[in-house]
Amino acid sequence: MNTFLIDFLTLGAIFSALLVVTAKNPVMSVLFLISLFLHISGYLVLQGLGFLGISYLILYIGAIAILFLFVVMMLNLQLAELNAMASEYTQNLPLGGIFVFLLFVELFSIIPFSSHNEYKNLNPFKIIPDVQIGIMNTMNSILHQFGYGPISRSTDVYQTYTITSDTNFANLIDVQSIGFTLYTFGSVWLFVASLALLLAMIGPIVLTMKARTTN
Amino acid sequence: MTNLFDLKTFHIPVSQGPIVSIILILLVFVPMLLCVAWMTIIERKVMGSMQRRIGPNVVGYYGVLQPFADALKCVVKEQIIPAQSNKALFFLAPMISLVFSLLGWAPIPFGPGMAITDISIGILFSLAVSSIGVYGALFAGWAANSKYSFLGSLRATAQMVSYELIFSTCVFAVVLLAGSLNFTTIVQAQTAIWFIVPLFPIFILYLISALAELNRTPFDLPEAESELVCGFMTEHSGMIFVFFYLAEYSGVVLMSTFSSVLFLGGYAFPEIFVQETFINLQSLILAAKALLFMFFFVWVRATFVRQRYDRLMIFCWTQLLPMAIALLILVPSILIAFDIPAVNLSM
Repeated sequence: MNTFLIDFLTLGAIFSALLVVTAKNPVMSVLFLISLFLHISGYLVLQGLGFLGISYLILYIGAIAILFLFVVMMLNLQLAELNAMASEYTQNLPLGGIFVFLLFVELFSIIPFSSHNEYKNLNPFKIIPDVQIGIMNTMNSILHQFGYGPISRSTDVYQTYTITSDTNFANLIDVQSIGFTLYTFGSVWLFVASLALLLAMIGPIVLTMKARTTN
Repeated sequence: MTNLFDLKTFHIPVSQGPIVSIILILLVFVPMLLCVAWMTIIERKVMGSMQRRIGPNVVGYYGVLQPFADALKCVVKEQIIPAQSNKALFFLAPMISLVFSLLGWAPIPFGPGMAITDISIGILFSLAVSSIGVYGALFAGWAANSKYSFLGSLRATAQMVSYELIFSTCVFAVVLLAGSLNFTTIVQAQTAIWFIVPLFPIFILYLISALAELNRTPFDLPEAESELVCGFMTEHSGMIFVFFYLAEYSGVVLMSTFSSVLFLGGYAFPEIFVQETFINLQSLILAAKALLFMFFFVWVRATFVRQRYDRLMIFCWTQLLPMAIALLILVPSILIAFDIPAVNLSM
């Protein structure tokens, strides 16, 4: 039952991702984007990554997609103009294909996809947590080259998912293991990310603040 | 202190097959829907008493069957669908509202571990579900293809999204004190003292944001019939309007229960009805505490006047949000300064 659901959600995610690009009405396009997020969060929950799945629901569907919808709904868009624009862009499809190909080449050549997880054979999609840890290791090793290596590399860190797929939500280690990983192996990158977020928060305030003129 | 209670002691396996799961779900949802029906009669009778009139008293004894008569009236009314509307979204939006306000009942515990799913991240689940419910309002206004309902939906969504920030900030203060995202653990953490006592300032912010989340009276601008048009549900009539109505009152009942679990100790009350058998009457305690909140919501509606919309938003972003963030920083600072660990670190 669970494997069937996972396959169903995967197919649904791909299908709705295609519809995001091909939908003519921009509001419907955002609607399919929400459907994509829903499918992915359901997929993550069924994989045993309950916390990440629920975070997807809260952050992407609860906040970001609503802002997208707001902007798209309030713009006074003419559908005919949009379609004319879209036909212009379809001429550039080969260029897009080349870029996508280059992106995938980069991704697969940089990110270590090797897995030391013996349960991987049971389910090919279990690659995701390993990739995340692999990214952290790669980035830490880049720091290490410049002599800033904070913490040594490791391939066996806290696994953020359970092995049995029936205990989706019942595992008590989910949030804690992500926290341990972030605050030890990824501490520097957590810091950098939080600085970037702070900058992104202060930037709009500075941009929109009116200088008060004294008469 | 850390192993005072072990969740496995109370663990009731719910994955016993689909039939048992469906029975469990029905056991929660049928009384809950009745509760929603009687919430409307509570509101009308209590407001009647507060305004020195009788309130509904014709259908059934003391008017207890009034909500069913109302529902029947709405069901047999004519269904009007705007010609230029987006039909699928027009019908989907009320269903989104109702389904996601009902889904919030899944992790609520009615006794130790007696929830449909006693998941380890129940608080996050509740917040996620309540934030998805906003889409009901958003799509209802857009799909109806009417300027009034569209502006109403933008108004309602902006309000709910803004106040959700305050709401989740206050909830996370409770999580910091309990040291867990699990509902049962939070209730058990309150056996020493209810969280309303140490977190009283946060409780006040929480109540204000809960009123705004539910679109209740001081902040009921999404459907201000007298000065603005009826809001995002202007074009909805008959059966699908009942969906919105049910979603709203189900939200009130759910929020009352949620608040009593977070701040008033949930089903726990010293030495009353405690027995770890299948006949567990602790849910009566939870019901009594939830009724306090329901009465409070009605009381506020009978007392306060409606706020203006710009004041509502300014109040949220420039006054409530700084206070909430300051309190959210203060609580863990106190916990660390006095070296008080969260109640259960082992969970």
